[in-house]
Amino acid sequence: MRIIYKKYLPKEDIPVYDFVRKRKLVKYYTRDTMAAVVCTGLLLKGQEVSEETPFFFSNSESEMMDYYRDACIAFDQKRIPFTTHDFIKIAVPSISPLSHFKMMRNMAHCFISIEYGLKGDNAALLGSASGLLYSALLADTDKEVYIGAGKLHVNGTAEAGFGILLPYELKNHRMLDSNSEAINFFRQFHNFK
Amino acid sequence: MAVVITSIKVRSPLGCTLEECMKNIELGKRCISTIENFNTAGFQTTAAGEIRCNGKVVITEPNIDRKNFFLDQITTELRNSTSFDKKYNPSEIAMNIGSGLDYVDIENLYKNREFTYPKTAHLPSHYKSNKQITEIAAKNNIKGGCNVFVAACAASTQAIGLSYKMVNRGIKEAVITGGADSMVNQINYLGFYNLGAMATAKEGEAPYICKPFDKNRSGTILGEGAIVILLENSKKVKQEKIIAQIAGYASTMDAYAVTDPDPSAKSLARAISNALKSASITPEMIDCVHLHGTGTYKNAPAEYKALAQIFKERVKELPVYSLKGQIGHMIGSCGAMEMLGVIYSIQNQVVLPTINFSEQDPHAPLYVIKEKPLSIPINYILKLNSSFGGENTALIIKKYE
Repeated sequence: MRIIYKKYLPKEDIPVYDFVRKRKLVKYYTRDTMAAVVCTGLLLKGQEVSEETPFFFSNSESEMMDYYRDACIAFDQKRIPFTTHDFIKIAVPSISPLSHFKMMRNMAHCFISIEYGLKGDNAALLGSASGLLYSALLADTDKEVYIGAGKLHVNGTAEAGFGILLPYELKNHRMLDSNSEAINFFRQFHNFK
Repeated sequence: MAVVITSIKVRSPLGCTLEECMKNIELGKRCISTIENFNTAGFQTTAAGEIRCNGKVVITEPNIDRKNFFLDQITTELRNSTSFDKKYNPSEIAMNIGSGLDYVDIENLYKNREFTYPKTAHLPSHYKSNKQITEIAAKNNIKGGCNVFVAACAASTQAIGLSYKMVNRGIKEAVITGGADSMVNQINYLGFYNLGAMATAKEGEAPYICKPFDKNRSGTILGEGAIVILLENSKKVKQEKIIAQIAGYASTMDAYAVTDPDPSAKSLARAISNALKSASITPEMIDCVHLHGTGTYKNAPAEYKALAQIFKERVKELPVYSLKGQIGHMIGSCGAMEMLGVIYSIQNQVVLPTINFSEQDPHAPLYVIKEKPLSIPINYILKLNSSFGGENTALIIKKYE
């Protein structure tokens, strides 16, 4: 089992462009997706990647306020009393269309799959370590499985992890029934610098 | 041993009980109409499949996250009617649920400038899907893990897939699975509209119309719904309680594009092939296919190509079906909700007509049933779903004998 974990502070640069070939897609990335792509790139460096390799990814709850902050500011500038109808009409158009992709919870899973051509057994999850680890344990293979997780904090701190393991290595793992966030698995068990 | 469905609880545009839903599926009732639950003034499209009880749309206050509000109700109903937590050790029961985007109460968001809950919120948590669903699991004494799946339109079938594996391999005694999603709120409805996938075709009195597989399809229509399904080991349940058997499952990834399905449909075909292997059956044993059938331009040809790769010439005579014309596209709960159509087919040995379908698309020449149900012996059904993002799922459901 090889596990990598990275944490980037709010204004810290995430060197995502060092690890992507499909650079045009980076504009759709959230910071935790960027961190996950970096972790994946570091761990898969020099590895032959089979498209059949199962890949499971779990996001954490994220603070979506960022997506709507601009909308609130746009509405404030009109200096009119709040109504839902006016907010939708005036403020929502100020939300960038890119944000719609950033709100979707399977995007990190999707972008990493596209980057590495991963087409095997898969799942995109939210939250618990349990779902991620059971998915890997019960994957349709006895060969290598990839797992990943990301977390974006309110202040912009981004965390991510990526792992290469064999399903049997998770048998009886103490986090299998854990409802704690999947990123905790990577925080605790990372063993790759 | 078989993995079997023993109980279902539901809130959908078809109704608020399994019986009401089955009756409306049989009637081919179109449950999509002009949105009643929020003010659509200024919206370009105004249609959706909203949750109804006895034909009336269930209206909730703006501070309610509808998807988890209804999930909470039906999980409690399931526990009360089956006593699953008394039958099994709660740590041997897991909950795997497909979900969708977080709900945003616009007024609360604007006034408080933080993504937090109002004091009157139904559940004591933020509008966060995972947090809410974990609370629902805890409240219902489910202690064997709570897992939320978020692969958009494939989320709930990925949830069912892991649940099937957990019971099949003896990891869990029982799993509460399914999905709950509602994009029928201002922010998420508008966001989906901006993606350009919403139907623009009108017909008669209908505000907009979703026409799966039809040559003149113009897009999909959003729906909302929550459904929970109890999966158990057949050896531990009374035979008369068994509704159907989950016989196989597989998931693959397109890894092609964020927004579009892979037009070669090779990955979707591989999901079918892997699911057949998982069920230890051959393509000839599939009696009909319940497709994703969104009513969008690119979905139907991709599904046709996938079926053609597996079923070869038989694709011309293999009956297919989509429920979305009746209830809309429920995104994070669509696959689980469409299990209602699968169960109807198994229980009544018919393939239902896909409503709103009238003219075959030469680019997707599927055998879509029109006007009246097709009666055939049905033992195995293939259920497909594919997501915005590229995840594909294939489930094999069997008549339990």
